[in-house]
Amino acid sequence: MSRSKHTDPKRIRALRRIRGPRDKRNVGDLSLRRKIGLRRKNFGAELALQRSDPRGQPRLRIVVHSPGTGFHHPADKGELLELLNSIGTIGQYGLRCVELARSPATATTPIPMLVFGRYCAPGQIILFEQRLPPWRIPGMLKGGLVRRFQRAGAIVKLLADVNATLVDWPGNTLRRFMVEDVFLHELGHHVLQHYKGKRSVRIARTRDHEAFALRFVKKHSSIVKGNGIEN
Amino acid sequence: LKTDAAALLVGDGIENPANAVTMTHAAAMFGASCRFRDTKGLNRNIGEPTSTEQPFNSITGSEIQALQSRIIAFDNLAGARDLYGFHAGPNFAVLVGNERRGLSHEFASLATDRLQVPMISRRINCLNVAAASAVALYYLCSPRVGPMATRKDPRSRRPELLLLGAADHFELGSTIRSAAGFGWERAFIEDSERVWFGCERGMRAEGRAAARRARNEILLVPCPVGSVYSYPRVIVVTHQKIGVPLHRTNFAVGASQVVIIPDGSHIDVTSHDWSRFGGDVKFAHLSLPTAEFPYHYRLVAAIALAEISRQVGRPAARAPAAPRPPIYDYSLGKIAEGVGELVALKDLMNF
Repeated sequence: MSRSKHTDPKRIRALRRIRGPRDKRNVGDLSLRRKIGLRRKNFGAELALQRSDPRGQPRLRIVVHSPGTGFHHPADKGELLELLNSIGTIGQYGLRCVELARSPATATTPIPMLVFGRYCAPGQIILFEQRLPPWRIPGMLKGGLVRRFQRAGAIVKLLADVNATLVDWPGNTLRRFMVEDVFLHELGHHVLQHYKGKRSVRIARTRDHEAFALRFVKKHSSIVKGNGIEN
Repeated sequence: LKTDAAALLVGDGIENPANAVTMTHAAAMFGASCRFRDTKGLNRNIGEPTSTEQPFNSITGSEIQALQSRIIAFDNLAGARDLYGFHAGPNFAVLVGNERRGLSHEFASLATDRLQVPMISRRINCLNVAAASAVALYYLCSPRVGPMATRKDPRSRRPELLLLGAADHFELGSTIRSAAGFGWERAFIEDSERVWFGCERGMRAEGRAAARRARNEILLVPCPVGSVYSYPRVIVVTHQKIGVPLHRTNFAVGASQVVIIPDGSHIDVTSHDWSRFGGDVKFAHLSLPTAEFPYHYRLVAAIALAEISRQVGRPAARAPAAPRPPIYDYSLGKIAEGVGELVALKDLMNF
Protein backbone atom coordinates (compact mmCIF):
# COMPACT_ATOMS: atom_id res chain seq x y z
CA MET A 1 0.00 0.00 0.00
CA SER A 2 1.36 3.39 -0.90
CA ARG A 3 1.67 5.82 1.94
CA SER A 4 1.94 9.57 2.00
CA LYS A 5 1.80 12.18 4.68
CA HIS A 6 -1.86 12.43 4.01
CA THR A 7 -2.46 8.77 4.83
CA ASP A 8 -0.24 8.65 7.89
CA PRO A 9 -1.68 6.87 10.86
CA LYS A 10 -3.22 9.35 13.27
CA ARG A 11 -0.54 8.89 15.85
CA ILE A 12 2.35 9.63 13.49
CA ARG A 13 0.55 12.53 11.90
CA ALA A 14 -0.26 14.08 15.26
CA LEU A 15 3.33 13.83 16.41
CA ARG A 16 4.64 15.36 13.19
CA ARG A 17 2.23 18.24 13.24
CA ILE A 18 2.77 19.04 16.88
CA ARG A 19 6.49 19.21 16.24
CA GLY A 20 6.18 21.46 13.21
CA PRO A 21 2.71 22.86 12.83
CA ARG A 22 3.79 25.22 10.02
CA ASP A 23 5.93 22.76 8.13
CA LYS A 24 5.18 22.20 4.47
CA ARG A 25 4.22 18.82 3.16
CA ASN A 26 7.61 18.21 1.59
CA VAL A 27 9.56 18.67 4.82
CA GLY A 28 11.32 15.48 5.83
CA ASP A 29 11.91 12.43 3.77
CA LEU A 30 9.09 10.12 4.62
CA SER A 31 10.71 6.93 3.38
CA LEU A 32 13.89 7.67 5.31
CA ARG A 33 11.90 8.45 8.41
CA ARG A 34 10.07 5.16 8.12
CA LYS A 35 13.33 3.31 7.60
CA ILE A 36 14.85 4.85 10.70
CA GLY A 37 11.70 4.21 12.65
CA LEU A 38 11.77 0.56 11.64
CA ARG A 39 15.41 0.21 12.74
CA ARG A 40 14.65 1.85 16.06
CA LYS A 41 11.77 -0.52 16.52
CA ASN A 42 14.04 -3.47 15.80
CA PHE A 43 16.55 -2.20 18.33
CA GLY A 44 13.74 -1.84 20.89
CA ALA A 45 13.85 1.94 21.12
CA GLU A 46 10.62 3.69 22.04
CA LEU A 47 8.96 6.17 19.80
CA ALA A 48 9.96 9.64 20.89
CA LEU A 49 6.63 10.89 22.02
CA GLN A 50 7.93 13.17 24.74
CA ARG A 51 10.76 14.80 22.86
CA SER A 52 12.07 17.85 24.63
CA ASP A 53 12.34 19.87 21.46
CA PRO A 54 11.34 23.47 22.13
CA ARG A 55 9.30 23.45 18.94
CA GLY A 56 7.70 20.24 20.09
CA GLN A 57 5.97 21.84 23.05
CA PRO A 58 2.24 21.61 22.57
CA ARG A 59 0.71 24.94 21.92
CA LEU A 60 -2.00 24.34 24.40
CA ARG A 61 -3.38 26.93 26.77
CA ILE A 62 -4.99 25.86 29.98
CA VAL A 63 -7.03 28.73 31.35
CA VAL A 64 -8.33 28.59 34.88
CA HIS A 65 -11.14 30.93 35.89
CA SER A 66 -11.72 31.28 39.59
CA PRO A 67 -14.85 29.42 40.69
CA GLY A 68 -17.87 31.10 42.20
CA THR A 69 -18.88 30.95 45.85
CA GLY A 70 -19.88 27.42 46.79
CA PHE A 71 -18.25 25.98 43.68
CA HIS A 72 -14.86 24.53 42.93
CA HIS A 73 -12.86 23.03 40.09
CA PRO A 74 -12.46 19.37 41.00
CA ALA A 75 -9.54 18.86 38.58
CA ASP A 76 -6.57 21.18 38.35
CA LYS A 77 -4.22 22.10 35.57
CA GLY A 78 -1.53 19.57 36.44
CA GLU A 79 -3.92 16.64 36.37
CA LEU A 80 -5.25 17.62 33.00
CA LEU A 81 -1.72 17.91 31.58
CA GLU A 82 -0.83 14.57 33.08
CA LEU A 83 -3.81 12.95 31.44
CA LEU A 84 -3.01 14.57 28.12
CA ASN A 85 0.54 13.27 28.31
CA SER A 86 -0.67 9.80 29.12
CA ILE A 87 -3.06 9.83 26.15
CA GLY A 88 -0.26 10.96 23.85
CA THR A 89 -0.13 13.20 20.86
CA ILE A 90 -3.37 11.91 19.44
CA GLY A 91 -5.23 13.91 22.04
CA GLN A 92 -2.94 16.92 22.00
CA TYR A 93 -2.88 17.50 18.29
CA GLY A 94 -5.14 20.39 17.37
CA LEU A 95 -6.19 21.03 20.94
CA ARG A 96 -5.97 24.77 21.41
CA CYS A 97 -7.39 25.48 24.79
CA VAL A 98 -8.69 23.79 27.90
CA GLU A 99 -10.69 26.07 30.14
CA LEU A 100 -11.75 25.56 33.70
CA ALA A 101 -14.70 27.87 33.59
CA ARG A 102 -17.66 29.01 35.58
CA SER A 103 -20.94 27.22 35.09
CA PRO A 104 -22.97 28.34 32.13
CA ALA A 105 -26.13 30.04 33.33
CA THR A 106 -28.25 29.59 30.27
CA ALA A 107 -31.88 28.97 29.75
CA THR A 108 -31.20 25.39 28.74
CA THR A 109 -29.30 24.63 31.92
CA PRO A 110 -31.27 26.14 34.77
CA ILE A 111 -29.31 24.19 37.33
CA PRO A 112 -25.68 25.23 36.86
CA MET A 113 -24.00 22.14 38.22
CA LEU A 114 -25.64 19.81 35.75
CA VAL A 115 -23.22 20.70 32.97
CA PHE A 116 -19.83 19.11 33.43
CA GLY A 117 -17.98 19.79 30.22
CA ARG A 118 -18.29 21.13 26.73
CA TYR A 119 -16.41 20.69 23.48
CA CYS A 120 -16.46 23.69 21.15
CA ALA A 121 -15.06 22.90 17.73
CA PRO A 122 -12.36 23.47 16.78
CA GLY A 123 -10.12 22.53 19.65
CA GLN A 124 -11.62 24.03 22.78
CA ILE A 125 -12.58 22.00 25.83
CA ILE A 126 -14.35 23.61 28.75
CA LEU A 127 -14.67 21.94 32.12
CA PHE A 128 -17.19 23.70 34.31
CA GLU A 129 -16.99 24.37 38.01
CA GLN A 130 -19.00 22.08 40.25
CA ARG A 131 -20.80 22.50 43.53
CA LEU A 132 -19.13 21.22 46.63
CA PRO A 133 -20.55 17.76 47.37
CA PRO A 134 -22.96 16.41 48.42
CA TRP A 135 -25.36 17.40 45.69
CA ARG A 136 -29.10 17.42 46.02
CA ILE A 137 -30.49 17.20 42.54
CA PRO A 138 -34.17 17.88 41.95
CA GLY A 139 -35.85 14.92 40.25
CA MET A 140 -34.95 11.28 40.01
CA LEU A 141 -31.81 10.42 38.11
CA LYS A 142 -32.21 7.88 35.36
CA GLY A 143 -30.67 4.46 35.76
CA GLY A 144 -27.88 5.01 33.25
CA LEU A 145 -26.74 8.17 34.95
CA VAL A 146 -26.89 6.59 38.37
CA ARG A 147 -24.72 3.73 37.17
CA ARG A 148 -22.26 6.15 35.59
CA PHE A 149 -21.94 8.11 38.82
CA GLN A 150 -21.60 4.95 40.85
CA ARG A 151 -18.87 3.65 38.53
CA ALA A 152 -16.96 6.84 39.22
CA GLY A 153 -17.31 6.22 42.96
CA ALA A 154 -20.27 8.39 43.86
CA ILE A 155 -22.88 7.41 46.42
CA VAL A 156 -26.29 7.96 44.89
CA LYS A 157 -29.50 7.95 46.89
CA LEU A 158 -32.85 8.29 45.20
CA LEU A 159 -35.24 10.13 47.49
CA ALA A 160 -38.54 9.07 45.99
CA ASP A 161 -40.72 10.68 48.62
CA VAL A 162 -39.33 14.17 47.95
CA ASN A 163 -38.61 13.48 44.27
CA ALA A 164 -34.92 14.25 44.51
CA THR A 165 -31.54 12.56 44.20
CA LEU A 166 -28.71 12.86 46.65
CA VAL A 167 -25.23 12.41 45.16
CA ASP A 168 -22.19 12.36 47.39
CA TRP A 169 -18.62 12.27 46.13
CA PRO A 170 -16.35 10.86 48.80
CA GLY A 171 -12.62 11.52 48.62
CA ASN A 172 -11.28 12.36 45.20
CA THR A 173 -14.00 10.58 43.29
CA LEU A 174 -15.40 13.78 41.78
CA ARG A 175 -11.93 14.69 40.55
CA ARG A 176 -11.56 11.26 38.98
CA PHE A 177 -14.96 11.60 37.38
CA MET A 178 -14.12 14.99 35.93
CA VAL A 179 -10.76 13.88 34.57
CA GLU A 180 -11.32 10.30 33.51
CA ASP A 181 -14.87 10.57 32.37
CA VAL A 182 -15.74 14.15 31.47
CA PHE A 183 -12.38 15.33 30.14
CA LEU A 184 -11.73 12.11 28.26
CA HIS A 185 -15.23 12.30 26.80
CA GLU A 186 -14.62 15.81 25.49
CA LEU A 187 -11.24 14.74 24.21
CA GLY A 188 -13.02 11.99 22.28
CA HIS A 189 -15.21 14.62 20.63
CA HIS A 190 -12.08 16.57 19.75
CA VAL A 191 -10.27 13.60 18.26
CA LEU A 192 -13.18 12.71 16.01
CA GLN A 193 -13.79 16.30 15.00
CA HIS A 194 -10.16 17.14 14.37
CA TYR A 195 -9.13 14.12 12.36
CA LYS A 196 -11.97 14.50 9.92
CA GLY A 197 -10.31 17.61 8.55
CA LYS A 198 -13.51 19.64 8.41
CA ARG A 199 -12.88 21.03 11.82
CA SER A 200 -15.49 23.73 12.10
CA VAL A 201 -18.45 21.90 10.65
CA ARG A 202 -20.61 19.11 11.97
CA ILE A 203 -18.93 15.97 10.67
CA ALA A 204 -21.18 13.39 12.29
CA ARG A 205 -24.63 13.09 13.76
CA THR A 206 -24.68 14.12 17.41
CA ARG A 207 -25.60 10.56 18.28
CA ASP A 208 -22.56 9.17 16.45
CA HIS A 209 -20.33 11.88 17.92
CA GLU A 210 -21.44 10.96 21.42
CA ALA A 211 -21.01 7.26 20.70
CA PHE A 212 -17.45 7.84 19.51
CA ALA A 213 -16.70 9.89 22.62
CA LEU A 214 -18.01 7.09 24.82
CA ARG A 215 -15.88 4.52 22.98
CA PHE A 216 -12.89 6.82 23.34
CA VAL A 217 -13.44 6.98 27.11
CA LYS A 218 -13.71 3.18 27.32
CA LYS A 219 -10.60 2.68 25.23
CA HIS A 220 -8.41 5.15 27.06
CA SER A 221 -9.61 4.90 30.62
CA SER A 222 -7.48 1.78 31.11
CA ILE A 223 -4.41 3.65 29.86
CA VAL A 224 -5.15 6.49 32.22
CA LYS A 225 -5.56 4.18 35.19
CA GLY A 226 -2.37 2.36 34.18
CA ASN A 227 -0.46 5.64 34.32
CA GLY A 228 -1.49 6.23 37.92
CA ILE A 229 -3.92 9.06 37.32
CA GLU A 230 -6.49 7.46 39.54
CA ASN A 231 -4.46 7.95 42.71
CA LEU B 1 -35.34 44.18 -42.09
CA LYS B 2 -31.95 45.78 -42.62
CA THR B 3 -31.32 48.63 -40.27
CA ASP B 4 -28.65 51.31 -40.20
CA ALA B 5 -28.85 51.66 -36.47
CA ALA B 6 -26.15 49.95 -34.42
CA ALA B 7 -28.43 49.19 -31.52
CA LEU B 8 -31.59 47.18 -31.76
CA LEU B 9 -34.37 47.14 -29.21
CA VAL B 10 -36.62 44.09 -29.32
CA GLY B 11 -39.86 43.75 -27.40
CA ASP B 12 -40.80 40.14 -26.77
CA GLY B 13 -44.53 39.55 -26.44
CA ILE B 14 -45.48 43.14 -25.59
CA GLU B 15 -49.24 43.37 -25.03
CA ASN B 16 -49.97 47.05 -24.57
CA PRO B 17 -49.72 49.10 -27.79
CA ALA B 18 -49.05 52.24 -25.74
CA ASN B 19 -46.00 50.58 -24.26
CA ALA B 20 -44.91 49.47 -27.73
CA VAL B 21 -45.23 53.02 -29.05
CA THR B 22 -43.25 54.40 -26.12
CA MET B 23 -40.60 51.76 -26.65
CA THR B 24 -40.31 52.85 -30.28
CA HIS B 25 -39.85 56.41 -29.06
CA ALA B 26 -37.31 55.27 -26.49
CA ALA B 27 -35.32 53.62 -29.27
CA ALA B 28 -35.57 56.82 -31.30
CA MET B 29 -34.04 58.78 -28.38
CA PHE B 30 -30.85 56.79 -28.85
CA GLY B 31 -30.93 56.36 -32.61
CA ALA B 32 -31.74 52.69 -32.25
CA SER B 33 -34.25 50.68 -34.17
CA CYS B 34 -37.13 48.90 -32.48
CA ARG B 35 -38.73 45.57 -33.41
CA PHE B 36 -41.29 43.35 -31.79
CA ARG B 37 -41.94 39.68 -31.56
CA ASP B 38 -45.69 39.77 -31.66
CA THR B 39 -47.03 36.81 -29.74
CA LYS B 40 -49.78 38.64 -27.86
CA GLY B 41 -51.70 40.19 -30.74
CA LEU B 42 -49.99 43.55 -30.58
CA ASN B 43 -50.80 44.46 -34.16
CA ARG B 44 -54.43 43.45 -33.66
CA ASN B 45 -54.78 46.25 -31.10
CA ILE B 46 -53.80 48.96 -33.56
CA GLY B 47 -56.44 51.62 -33.72
CA GLU B 48 -57.05 51.77 -30.00
CA PRO B 49 -56.88 55.23 -28.52
CA THR B 50 -53.41 54.71 -27.13
CA SER B 51 -51.97 53.12 -30.25
CA THR B 52 -50.76 54.32 -33.59
CA GLU B 53 -52.12 53.49 -37.00
CA GLN B 54 -48.84 52.02 -38.17
CA PRO B 55 -48.10 48.33 -37.66
CA PHE B 56 -45.18 47.41 -35.48
CA ASN B 57 -42.20 45.84 -37.20
CA SER B 58 -41.81 42.23 -36.23
CA ILE B 59 -38.71 40.12 -35.84
CA THR B 60 -37.86 36.53 -35.03
CA GLY B 61 -35.14 35.01 -32.94
CA SER B 62 -33.10 33.81 -35.91
CA GLU B 63 -33.31 37.26 -37.50
CA ILE B 64 -31.95 38.82 -34.32
CA GLN B 65 -29.06 36.39 -34.37
CA ALA B 66 -28.41 37.21 -38.02
CA LEU B 67 -28.41 40.95 -37.32
CA GLN B 68 -26.45 41.13 -34.07
CA SER B 69 -23.85 38.92 -32.52
CA ARG B 70 -24.24 40.46 -29.07
CA ILE B 71 -27.71 39.84 -27.71
CA ILE B 72 -28.52 41.22 -24.28
CA ALA B 73 -31.47 39.89 -22.30
CA PHE B 74 -32.68 42.73 -20.11
CA ASP B 75 -34.72 41.12 -17.38
CA ASN B 76 -34.28 40.11 -13.78
CA LEU B 77 -33.24 36.61 -14.75
CA ALA B 78 -31.12 34.31 -12.68
CA GLY B 79 -27.46 35.25 -12.92
CA ALA B 80 -28.18 38.64 -14.51
CA ARG B 81 -25.46 41.24 -14.02
CA ASP B 82 -25.99 44.86 -13.14
CA LEU B 83 -26.54 47.21 -16.06
CA TYR B 84 -24.31 49.86 -14.52
CA GLY B 85 -20.72 49.54 -15.61
CA PHE B 86 -21.45 47.06 -18.38
CA HIS B 87 -19.80 47.79 -21.72
CA ALA B 88 -21.72 46.34 -24.61
CA GLY B 89 -19.70 47.74 -27.49
CA PRO B 90 -21.17 49.53 -30.50
CA ASN B 91 -23.44 46.81 -31.89
CA PHE B 92 -25.95 44.93 -29.81
CA ALA B 93 -29.56 43.91 -29.49
CA VAL B 94 -31.48 44.42 -26.25
CA LEU B 95 -34.36 42.08 -25.55
CA VAL B 96 -37.08 43.16 -23.16
CA GLY B 97 -40.00 40.99 -22.23
CA ASN B 98 -43.71 41.01 -21.70
CA GLU B 99 -45.10 43.44 -19.10
CA ARG B 100 -46.21 40.70 -16.75
CA ARG B 101 -44.25 37.61 -17.69
CA GLY B 102 -40.92 38.99 -18.79
CA LEU B 103 -38.79 37.43 -21.47
CA SER B 104 -39.84 34.13 -22.98
CA HIS B 105 -37.56 31.17 -22.50
CA GLU B 106 -36.90 31.08 -26.23
CA PHE B 107 -35.58 34.64 -26.29
CA ALA B 108 -33.77 34.36 -23.00
CA SER B 109 -31.85 31.40 -24.38
CA LEU B 110 -30.71 33.48 -27.37
CA ALA B 111 -28.95 35.97 -25.13
CA THR B 112 -25.21 36.21 -24.90
CA ASP B 113 -25.45 38.48 -21.84
CA ARG B 114 -28.03 38.90 -19.11
CA LEU B 115 -28.47 42.30 -17.53
CA GLN B 116 -30.81 43.88 -15.05
CA VAL B 117 -31.25 47.26 -13.48
CA PRO B 118 -30.75 46.94 -9.72
CA MET B 119 -33.95 47.70 -7.85
CA ILE B 120 -33.85 48.86 -4.27
CA SER B 121 -37.47 48.36 -3.33
CA ARG B 122 -38.68 44.94 -2.31
CA ARG B 123 -42.26 45.60 -3.30
CA ILE B 124 -41.69 47.21 -6.69
CA ASN B 125 -39.15 44.95 -8.31
CA CYS B 126 -39.46 46.03 -11.94
CA LEU B 127 -40.01 49.09 -14.10
CA ASN B 128 -42.46 49.85 -16.85
CA VAL B 129 -41.19 48.07 -19.95
CA ALA B 130 -40.71 51.27 -21.95
CA ALA B 131 -38.97 52.98 -19.03
CA ALA B 132 -36.75 49.94 -18.59
CA SER B 133 -35.91 50.00 -22.32
CA ALA B 134 -34.90 53.66 -22.06
CA VAL B 135 -32.72 53.00 -19.02
CA ALA B 136 -31.08 50.04 -20.75
CA LEU B 137 -30.38 51.96 -23.93
CA TYR B 138 -29.08 54.97 -22.00
CA TYR B 139 -26.47 52.96 -20.14
CA LEU B 140 -25.53 50.83 -23.15
CA CYS B 141 -25.31 53.68 -25.69
CA SER B 142 -24.28 56.68 -23.63
CA PRO B 143 -21.06 57.53 -21.80
CA ARG B 144 -19.48 54.87 -19.69
CA VAL B 145 -20.25 54.96 -16.01
CA GLY B 146 -18.99 52.91 -13.12
CA PRO B 147 -20.88 50.26 -11.22
CA MET B 148 -23.44 51.03 -8.57
CA ALA B 149 -21.95 52.61 -5.46
CA THR B 150 -21.75 50.60 -2.26
CA ARG B 151 -22.33 52.60 0.88
CA LYS B 152 -22.84 51.93 4.53
CA ASP B 153 -25.93 54.12 4.75
CA PRO B 154 -27.28 54.96 1.28
CA ARG B 155 -30.46 56.47 2.70
CA SER B 156 -28.50 59.39 4.09
CA ARG B 157 -27.27 60.17 0.58
CA ARG B 158 -30.61 60.08 -1.18
CA PRO B 159 -31.82 63.49 -2.41
CA GLU B 160 -35.39 64.69 -2.24
CA LEU B 161 -37.42 64.26 -5.40
CA LEU B 162 -39.88 66.70 -6.89
CA LEU B 163 -41.92 65.73 -9.94
CA LEU B 164 -42.97 68.96 -11.56
CA GLY B 165 -45.94 69.58 -13.80
CA ALA B 166 -46.50 66.19 -15.38
CA ALA B 167 -49.04 66.52 -18.17
CA ASP B 168 -50.10 62.90 -18.46
CA HIS B 169 -51.33 60.64 -15.68
CA PHE B 170 -49.84 57.49 -17.27
CA GLU B 171 -46.46 59.13 -17.53
CA LEU B 172 -46.60 60.42 -13.98
CA GLY B 173 -47.84 57.08 -12.62
CA SER B 174 -45.07 55.22 -14.36
CA THR B 175 -42.53 57.71 -13.02
CA ILE B 176 -43.85 57.22 -9.48
CA ARG B 177 -43.48 53.49 -9.97
CA SER B 178 -39.86 53.98 -11.06
CA ALA B 179 -39.15 56.24 -8.08
CA ALA B 180 -40.48 53.64 -5.66
CA GLY B 181 -38.54 50.88 -7.41
CA PHE B 182 -35.33 52.88 -7.19
CA GLY B 183 -35.77 53.28 -3.47
CA TRP B 184 -37.47 56.60 -2.80
CA GLU B 185 -39.75 56.51 0.19
CA ARG B 186 -41.36 59.83 -0.57
CA ALA B 187 -41.68 62.22 -3.47
CA PHE B 188 -43.09 65.73 -3.83
CA ILE B 189 -45.53 66.34 -6.64
CA GLU B 190 -46.37 69.76 -7.97
CA ASP B 191 -49.45 68.79 -9.93
CA SER B 192 -50.03 71.92 -11.98
CA GLU B 193 -51.90 70.00 -14.70
CA ARG B 194 -54.16 68.22 -12.18
CA VAL B 195 -53.49 64.73 -13.44
CA TRP B 196 -52.89 63.14 -10.04
CA PHE B 197 -54.63 64.99 -7.22
CA GLY B 198 -58.23 66.02 -7.68
CA CYS B 199 -58.59 64.58 -11.16
CA GLU B 200 -61.56 62.69 -12.49
CA ARG B 201 -62.12 59.10 -11.43
CA GLY B 202 -61.06 57.32 -14.61
CA MET B 203 -57.84 59.27 -14.86
CA ARG B 204 -57.16 58.68 -11.19
CA ALA B 205 -57.63 54.90 -11.53
CA GLU B 206 -55.41 54.69 -14.61
CA GLY B 207 -52.70 56.78 -13.01
CA ARG B 208 -52.73 54.70 -9.82
CA ALA B 209 -52.62 51.49 -11.87
CA ALA B 210 -49.58 52.76 -13.78
CA ALA B 211 -47.92 53.58 -10.45
CA ARG B 212 -48.75 50.07 -9.13
CA ARG B 213 -50.23 51.89 -6.17
CA ALA B 214 -51.62 48.66 -4.68
CA ARG B 215 -48.16 47.63 -3.63
CA ASN B 216 -46.29 50.88 -4.07
CA GLU B 217 -45.70 52.35 -0.62
CA ILE B 218 -44.09 55.60 -1.68
CA LEU B 219 -45.44 58.64 0.14
CA LEU B 220 -46.61 61.28 -2.32
CA VAL B 221 -46.62 64.80 -0.93
CA PRO B 222 -48.75 67.29 -2.88
CA CYS B 223 -47.11 70.68 -3.22
CA PRO B 224 -49.10 73.83 -4.00
CA VAL B 225 -48.30 75.27 -7.40
CA GLY B 226 -45.82 78.12 -7.21
CA SER B 227 -44.70 77.43 -3.63
CA VAL B 228 -41.39 78.80 -2.47
CA TYR B 229 -38.74 76.45 -1.03
CA SER B 230 -35.34 77.01 0.49
CA TYR B 231 -33.27 73.97 -0.44
CA PRO B 232 -29.52 74.69 -0.31
CA ARG B 233 -28.97 72.75 -3.52
CA VAL B 234 -31.36 72.32 -6.41
CA ILE B 235 -30.73 70.21 -9.49
CA VAL B 236 -33.07 70.35 -12.46
CA VAL B 237 -32.88 67.34 -14.75
CA THR B 238 -33.77 67.97 -18.37
CA HIS B 239 -33.35 66.42 -21.78
CA GLN B 240 -32.17 69.72 -23.26
CA LYS B 241 -28.44 70.30 -23.37
CA ILE B 242 -28.26 72.66 -20.43
CA GLY B 243 -25.76 72.32 -17.62
CA VAL B 244 -23.60 69.28 -17.07
CA PRO B 245 -24.27 65.71 -18.19
CA LEU B 246 -26.25 63.58 -15.81
CA HIS B 247 -23.43 61.22 -14.92
CA ARG B 248 -21.13 64.10 -14.01
CA THR B 249 -23.55 65.59 -11.54
CA ASN B 250 -23.22 64.67 -7.90
CA PHE B 251 -26.61 63.49 -6.74
CA ALA B 252 -25.50 61.62 -3.64
CA VAL B 253 -25.52 64.59 -1.29
CA GLY B 254 -28.51 63.78 0.84
CA ALA B 255 -31.81 65.34 1.74
CA SER B 256 -30.40 68.86 1.60
CA GLN B 257 -30.55 68.55 -2.17
CA VAL B 258 -33.72 68.43 -4.21
CA VAL B 259 -33.82 66.92 -7.68
CA ILE B 260 -36.55 68.39 -9.84
CA ILE B 261 -37.73 66.51 -12.89
CA PRO B 262 -39.98 68.83 -14.90
CA ASP B 263 -42.19 67.62 -17.72
CA GLY B 264 -40.28 68.92 -20.72
CA SER B 265 -43.24 68.55 -23.04
CA HIS B 266 -44.76 71.79 -21.82
CA ILE B 267 -42.32 73.34 -19.32
CA ASP B 268 -39.61 75.47 -20.83
CA VAL B 269 -36.65 74.81 -18.61
CA THR B 270 -34.76 77.88 -19.74
CA SER B 271 -37.47 80.38 -18.93
CA HIS B 272 -38.96 78.79 -15.81
CA ASP B 273 -38.32 80.51 -12.48
CA TRP B 274 -36.20 78.00 -10.55
CA SER B 275 -35.06 80.40 -7.87
CA ARG B 276 -38.18 79.67 -5.84
CA PHE B 277 -36.84 76.20 -5.01
CA GLY B 278 -33.61 77.32 -3.40
CA GLY B 279 -30.38 79.17 -3.73
CA ASP B 280 -27.95 77.09 -5.73
CA VAL B 281 -29.75 75.91 -8.88
CA LYS B 282 -27.89 73.65 -11.31
CA PHE B 283 -28.96 71.83 -14.41
CA ALA B 284 -28.18 68.32 -15.45
CA HIS B 285 -29.01 66.95 -18.85
CA LEU B 286 -29.30 63.52 -20.38
CA SER B 287 -26.50 62.70 -22.80
CA LEU B 288 -28.56 61.71 -25.82
CA PRO B 289 -27.19 61.17 -29.33
CA THR B 290 -30.20 62.81 -30.97
CA ALA B 291 -31.83 66.14 -30.25
CA GLU B 292 -35.21 65.53 -31.86
CA PHE B 293 -37.36 62.70 -30.56
CA PRO B 294 -40.89 62.22 -29.23
CA TYR B 295 -40.75 63.28 -25.59
CA HIS B 296 -42.02 61.01 -22.84
CA TYR B 297 -41.84 62.15 -19.24
CA ARG B 298 -41.50 58.62 -17.88
CA LEU B 299 -38.46 57.85 -20.06
CA VAL B 300 -36.50 60.94 -19.06
CA ALA B 301 -37.50 60.53 -15.42
CA ALA B 302 -36.62 56.82 -15.34
CA ILE B 303 -33.15 57.53 -16.73
CA ALA B 304 -32.60 60.33 -14.21
CA LEU B 305 -33.83 58.21 -11.32
CA ALA B 306 -31.66 55.29 -12.39
CA GLU B 307 -28.57 57.50 -12.44
CA ILE B 308 -29.38 58.98 -9.03
CA SER B 309 -29.95 55.48 -7.70
CA ARG B 310 -26.60 54.37 -9.11
CA GLN B 311 -24.82 57.22 -7.34
CA VAL B 312 -26.71 56.86 -4.08
CA GLY B 313 -25.82 53.19 -4.11
CA ARG B 314 -26.85 50.31 -1.96
CA PRO B 315 -25.50 48.64 1.14
CA ALA B 316 -22.83 46.02 0.70
CA ALA B 317 -24.22 42.55 0.28
CA ARG B 318 -23.98 40.67 3.52
CA ALA B 319 -21.88 37.58 3.44
CA PRO B 320 -23.90 34.55 4.37
CA ALA B 321 -23.36 33.68 7.98
CA ALA B 322 -21.11 30.70 8.44
CA PRO B 323 -22.69 27.79 10.24
CA ARG B 324 -21.96 27.74 13.95
CA PRO B 325 -19.19 25.30 14.81
CA PRO B 326 -20.60 22.30 16.65
CA ILE B 327 -20.74 22.28 20.43
CA TYR B 328 -21.11 19.10 22.47
CA ASP B 329 -22.17 19.31 26.10
CA TYR B 330 -21.57 16.72 28.76
CA SER B 331 -24.47 17.32 31.06
CA LEU B 332 -27.13 15.46 32.92
CA GLY B 333 -29.74 16.91 30.64
CA LYS B 334 -33.29 16.16 31.56
CA ILE B 335 -33.03 14.51 34.92
CA ALA B 336 -36.42 14.86 36.48
CA GLU B 337 -38.54 11.84 35.89
CA GLY B 338 -42.13 11.59 36.91
CA VAL B 339 -42.77 10.96 40.57
CA GLY B 340 -43.41 7.27 40.95
CA GLU B 341 -44.28 4.99 43.79
CA LEU B 342 -41.99 2.24 44.97
CA VAL B 343 -43.91 -1.03 45.01
CA ALA B 344 -42.62 -4.34 46.24
CA LEU B 345 -42.77 -7.19 43.77
CA LYS B 346 -44.82 -9.25 46.19
CA ASP B 347 -47.45 -6.53 46.51
CA LEU B 348 -47.54 -6.19 42.76
CA MET B 349 -48.12 -9.91 42.28
CA ASN B 350 -50.97 -9.84 44.77
CA PHE B 351 -52.60 -6.87 43.09
